Formats: sequence, C-alpha cells, structure tokens
Amino acid sequence: MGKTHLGDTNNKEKKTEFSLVKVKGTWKRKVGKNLNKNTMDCVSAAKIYESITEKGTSWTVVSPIVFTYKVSETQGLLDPSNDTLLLGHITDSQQLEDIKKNTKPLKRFVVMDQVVYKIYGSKLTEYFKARNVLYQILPLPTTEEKKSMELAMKILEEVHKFSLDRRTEPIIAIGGGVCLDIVGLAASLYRRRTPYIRVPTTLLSYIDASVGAKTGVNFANCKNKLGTYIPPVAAFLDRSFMQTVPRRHISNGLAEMLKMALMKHRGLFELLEAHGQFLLDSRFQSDNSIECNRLEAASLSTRIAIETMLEELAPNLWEDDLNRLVDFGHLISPELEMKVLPSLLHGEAVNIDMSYMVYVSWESGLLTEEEKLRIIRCMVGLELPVWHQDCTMELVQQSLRNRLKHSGGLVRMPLPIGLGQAEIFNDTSDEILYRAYEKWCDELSTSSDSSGDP
Amino acid sequence: MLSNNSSQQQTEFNLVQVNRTWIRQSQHCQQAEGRSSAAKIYESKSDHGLSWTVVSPIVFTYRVIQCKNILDARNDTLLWGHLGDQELKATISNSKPVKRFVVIDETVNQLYGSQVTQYFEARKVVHKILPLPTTEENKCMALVTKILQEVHSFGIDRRSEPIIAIGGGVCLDVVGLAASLYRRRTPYIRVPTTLLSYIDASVGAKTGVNFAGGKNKLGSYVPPVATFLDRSFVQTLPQRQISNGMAEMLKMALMKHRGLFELLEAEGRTLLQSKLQSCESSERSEQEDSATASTRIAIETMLEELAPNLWEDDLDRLVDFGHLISPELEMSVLPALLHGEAVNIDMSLMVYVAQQRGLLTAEEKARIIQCMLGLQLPVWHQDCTLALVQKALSERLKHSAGSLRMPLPTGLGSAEIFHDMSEDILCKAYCKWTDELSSSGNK
Repeated sequence: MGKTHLGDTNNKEKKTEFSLVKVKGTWKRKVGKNLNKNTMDCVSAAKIYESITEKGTSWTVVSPIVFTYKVSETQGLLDPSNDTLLLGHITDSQQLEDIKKNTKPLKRFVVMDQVVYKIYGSKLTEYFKARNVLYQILPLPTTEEKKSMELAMKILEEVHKFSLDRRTEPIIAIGGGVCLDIVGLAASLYRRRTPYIRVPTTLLSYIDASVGAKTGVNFANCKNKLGTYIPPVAAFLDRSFMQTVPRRHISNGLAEMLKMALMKHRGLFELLEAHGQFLLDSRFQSDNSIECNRLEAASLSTRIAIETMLEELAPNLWEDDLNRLVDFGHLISPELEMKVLPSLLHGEAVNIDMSYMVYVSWESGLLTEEEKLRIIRCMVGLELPVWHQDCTMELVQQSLRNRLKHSGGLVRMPLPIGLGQAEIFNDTSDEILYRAYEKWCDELSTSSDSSGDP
Repeated sequence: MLSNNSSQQQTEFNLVQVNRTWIRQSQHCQQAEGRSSAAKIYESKSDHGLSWTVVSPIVFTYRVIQCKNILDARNDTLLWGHLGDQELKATISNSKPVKRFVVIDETVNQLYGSQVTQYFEARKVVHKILPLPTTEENKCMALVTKILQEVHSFGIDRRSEPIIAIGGGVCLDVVGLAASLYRRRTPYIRVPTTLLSYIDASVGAKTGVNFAGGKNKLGSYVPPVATFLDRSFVQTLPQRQISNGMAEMLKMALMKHRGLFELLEAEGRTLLQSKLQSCESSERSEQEDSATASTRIAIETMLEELAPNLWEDDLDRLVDFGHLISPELEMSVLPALLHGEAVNIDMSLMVYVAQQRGLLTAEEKARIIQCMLGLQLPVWHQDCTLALVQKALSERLKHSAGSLRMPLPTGLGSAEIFHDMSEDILCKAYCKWTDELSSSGNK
C-alpha cells in the first residue's frame, strides 16, 4: 500500500507499509495486503514502514512480542507423583507426550532461598531423585539487603557451569519475593532470555511477586532500580509452603492482599475483615474439619487476590501506562523500607503507606469516617503496623518528589474512594497531605510501631 | 498425574478498563464501556485447582533514520528524531529544560567529542558526556554498572530523556543493556560510528555483554527508540575497520541479495577507498551511488530478517551465517581479530562446506572468495583449527535447542538452513579450505 504525499516540511515524502512474509526460510518484505498464502510459509505480525525523503530513507519497525505465562494452583508440589514442578509449564500436549515417552533424564537448576532450603531442601532432593532428574540446588541468602546485581551474577556463574538447554530446561526459583525477583533477573539476562519458573513460598510472593512480569535488584540504595519485565513461563502456587511461614510473614502477605481489596474488591475486603485472624492462625491451610465458610476463606481470598492482580498486570505488563492501581501503598513505602532496613518487611511498609493514604483519602472527602475506621481496624486485625515513627513528613514529601520524578512528572496517586474502589489523583494539595499526616499521627501513633506480634 | 491440557475447559477473558480499573469479562458477557486491551486471560480448572494463562502482547516500535550532519546544531535529529509529529509538538511546547546523558566511546570522543559538546551547548541542553573505553575486552557487566552509576547520579526522566550511545557495536550493546535494566526499561538512542555498527548492531534489538569467556552471554532484546545513521562518521575509520563492516554487508548479500553481492564484487575496492562517502555530484543525481545503495540494501535486508523475529523465538536465523564458528574464534584470539574479520573467516569456511555439499558451484565459491579478498578481509586463520570448528559446532548444538541450524548459501544471494552436518563433509571442506587459502595467511 504505497502512497505519496507532502509531509509537513517542503520535502516530498513517500511512505510505504510493508508486511513481512517468509518464503522458504527467508523473510521478504511485501507491499500490499492481499498476500498470496500459497507462496509463503507464514506472515509475521511485524511491519516495516518506510519513508523516503530527500534526506534519505527511514524505517519504522513495529514488532509485537507476545508474552504467555501460566499461573497454576497445585497441591503437594514436592510429591514425587506430581508432574507440575517438572512439566507444568508445558502447554503443548504433543510436546508433553514426547517428553514423557523420552527416557532421557530431565535436567533442572534450582535456586532456593537458604531458609526455605533448610526446611524443604531434602524433600526437593527426594523429589528429583525419585524422578531421575539431573539437578543442582543452589541455596542462597535471598534477603532484601543482599538483593543486588552481585547476587544475580553469582547465580549466573553457577547456571553457566551447570549447562542448560537454551529453551527446554527452565531455571526454577523457590522462595520469597526477593528470591523470585533475583532469579527472574538472572534468567532474563542469560542468553538474553532463559525460561524460568517461580515457586513462591511466602504469602506475599504467592499473591504478588509470582504473578507479574517484574524482576529486579536494588541499586544505589534504591529499591528495584534495575530489572526487567520478563515473566516466568509459569508460577506454581502451593499453599502448603505457608505452614512453615512465621506469623509475621503471613501478616506481611496480607498487606498486599488488602491492597487489592481496597483498590478493587469489596468482597475481598469483607472477607479479610471477617476472617483475618483465622487466616493468620491457620496459615492459609485448608482444614477439612473446619466448617464450610471458613474453609473457603483461604482458597477464596488467594484466588481473588490473584485474579485482581492479573487483571491489573496483564494489560500493562511493561508499564506503558504509569497509572497503576497496584502502586497503592508503594509511593512512600520504598523510601521507608530502605531507610529502616531491615526492621520493616515489605508488606509492613506497604501497609504503613496505605494507612497514611487512607487518611489522605478521608481528608480529601473520598472516604467516610466510618470507612476509614473499618479499614484501619481491619489492618490492625491483620496484625499489621499502621504507623511508624520513621515515616516522617519529610520522608513523605521526599517520596512524593521522587514519585514525580519517576512517573513522568505526575504523582499518579491511587486513593480509595470507597471500600473496594479507587481512582488515581494528581492534584492532592500539600495542605491536605499535611493535615492528613497530623491526624494520622494523632490517631495512630499510640499503636506500636513494630508489627503486632505479642 | 497432570491432566491433559487439551481436554480442559478454558474460559477466555477479555480485559476492559473502566474508570482506571481493569476488569476481566468473559466472552459471553456484555462488553463494558471502556478501553480494551489486546491481552487476554484464560482460566481453567483441574483437580489441583485453578490455572490462569496470561497472554500479553507488547509492541516494540523503533525508528531507523538516515541523516546527514547529525552533529550540526541546526539538525534536530539527535534530540528529537525519535519522536513522531504529535509527540514532538507536545514536547516543544513544554518549557522544561532538555536533558541528555551521552555515553561515547573514548576513541570517538577524541575525534568528535568537542562537536558533541558544541551541539548540546548550542541547543542549551543540560548534558553529561561519559567517554568510556568500549572495547571487546571491557564488554562486561562491570562496565554496565559504571554507566548505571553515572546515569543514576545525573538523574533522567523515566520516559522522556533517552540515553544516547555514540560509538561502535560494543558501545551500543553495553549502553543498550544498561538502559534496558535501569528502571526496568529506559529509552535509549543509538548513533553508530563504525560501518559494522551502522549496518548490524544498530538495527536490531540485541544488547549484551560478554560473560565467563562467552561472547554476549548476558543481555536483552530491548531495541532503542531510535537509531540515527550518519555515514560521515565512517570517514575517520581506519581501513581495517571499514573492511570489518563490509563483512556483515557481505553476509547479508550472500544470504539474501544477489544484487548487493554483485555491487560488492564490482565496487568493493571503490567503497573501501572512498570510505563509503558519497561524493558531491552523486548526491545531486537521481541515481543512487554504490555507497548509498549498499548501505541501504544491507539495512533493509537486515530489518527484514530481524523485525519478524525480534526476540529470537525462531532459532533458525539466516543472519547467524558467519556466527557459528566466529564467536569461539574471536574470543580465543582476542584481540587479534575484529568481529567482522572473524565472521568472514567463518563464512569463508562455510562457503567451502556449501560447495562440498553441492550447494554452490566451484565458480560461485571462487567468486565469493575473490570478493572477500577484494574487500581486504581475511579468508583463513591458523587458529581456526578443525578442533575449534568442531567445538564451536557442538556449542552451537547446545545453544540452539539441539539442532545445528547452519545457514549455508545455495547460490549467490540465496540460502537455506541445514540441521545436520556430516563429519566427513566437514573434514573434506576444512582440508580444501586450508589447502587453498592458508597461503593467504593471517592478517
């Protein structure tokens, strides 16, 4: 489809749109939309636009890359009779059959958080032995303080020595958010893309780190300054790992669940209000002896959390749109978290941020007093901190200035406008922010500034 | 046992944005009013629980713009060439001071650094120019980290202040990787200053650094927002570097474009001598001169091959010709061979393989080798032993999901990908290659 027209300048410009077709292994550009399918192997979704002026020729390449990944609930992931860990990422049934028929032993490289390794390392080893898998397990101290490029490089050295097939032997990450983020980054870099699998072992990573595309490490004392948007081929969600998670870390995860509830899902909020304590006590394990509605709370809440998160992430995988509801609780918390490292867990910092923002909402007239109280009460019920002495007004202002800088000049502040509804605001006045801060301190500073652990 | 995926019921959900909130809607539901996404979520149920499959297309758009006098202060390209008309209007009306961070190869800085500085000063751009020794030996993660530290201290807007890389392939690759990582994606611009980077490194998506002795083992597939091609940089290149770039041009010719091959055959010497500069008279004429034509065709053929396969979903790639053996060779004799030189040695051997397999006639083989010699490229190397070749091919097998994927010319300007190589043919070809060409010696 060629056309000639005068551009904005005096130069004559000739513009042509080309499709790309593959003929016997060679790509050729072709003008026109009526492509004879008989002469070609396939047509690409990519296009090249050519523009010819006196100055020379320019081309614009438009190339869509489709990211596909699975998020699967499973039970008994480390049970040798469960295929998921090894084959759950395969979507093509022919491929699956071929692998099952092939007697060649599978090969897998696993990075495991070292605390998780102490508890589950032997079970994992037994799994691989029972399945005749050639494996290497690399236990690492995947803590926030160690979340750096150095640790990613360490993983890369070991992966490189182990020698994996480029496409069919995904690296497996088993651990919390830090572990999943670092392994994801290492895998993104190796050979420019290596498939990887996430197995979250904490509640936080279960509903947050595992379901999006983000990978990353900290840099120059800033959270997640370096990373990629490359999703895993699959994330396998087995709630049984949470049995061994300390209570504080369950609360930690509940903060991200609450975030989704406040932004998008009234039902999830009411569930957390009603069953928060039970979820904490039961560590999200489903017990057949408990009555029906409580039995549902664990699986239902995690499902809703994931579905709402996927809804927000899938259409914006590479953050083309910087207006993101999932940023709620993440405007101030990065500064706060890094400042007091390691005394606040990620979710705890997020909750303190959300708690303050609830006051901002209320001060702005977007929430009623009753709604504000319900939310704070819910947070306290989830044993999350709702205030912190290091979250000073200066820190708040610094964070919002950074937000402005990193978000293309707008603050893009998600605020709840009801229970389970939200909007994004760019014009909240300094006055409101300050008044909200005062009231937030007045009303909440008497509560403990550490987590609600007895 | 995991149930057979194909028999599972899957519900397809579309995603619609209503008041800043994305909601999923199954096909049967009434479509809500709002922005639609191209992404989809498929949900299915099994004994173990629910499973969701996310399918999310990300569209990469980038411009490759030929221009002249890119460092002339009257030329907008370096600052705004990456924007479309609409975006440009919006930006110009914004009174905020323009800011740019530039990474420039040390050698290029010596030649052009003052012009770059003058450009930014004349345009009143707040700028920082970081000269770095971007050599193959330095092409590592530590260099990327250095760039990141400087970018971070300088401070750039997340989306509107692209990092600019001015230099050869190594420079462009390293800056591209740093930009891909910073904030998980930061726009960057490539200004190639060597012929090789002009037709190769600048037009694709690949970024990278070497690692554990392996070439480009770490990197990303994130393209720049734009590449600006100004052939005048090539004037200050040593002859050897021009030949170096011609190797990649020849590669595309052999794989896909007979016309380009014939041009290189006929005009190779002239192109080398003129350093691919177009003379005054040819610029005014209607006809394209050979320098303009050859660079244009090289880029077009490269874009044809790269655009549909930006992330190498398909490991069968014609552009891999000359790149099966050369990575081993290049790294083992570093820094004795330039990239293009190693590529040419690889191609030269592969031409013998092609002839041995009956894909090329003896005459075609001879023409190709003649052309290579005319371009002053090495066609043989003593360190390219049979053992090295075999090792490289077994590495290829390992890194290409179990298949050799060997591009071989099947004529002048046509090629195919082969998945097998008999030891016998390889040895015979290797012996002939050594017999006939070893006298041409090393560069």
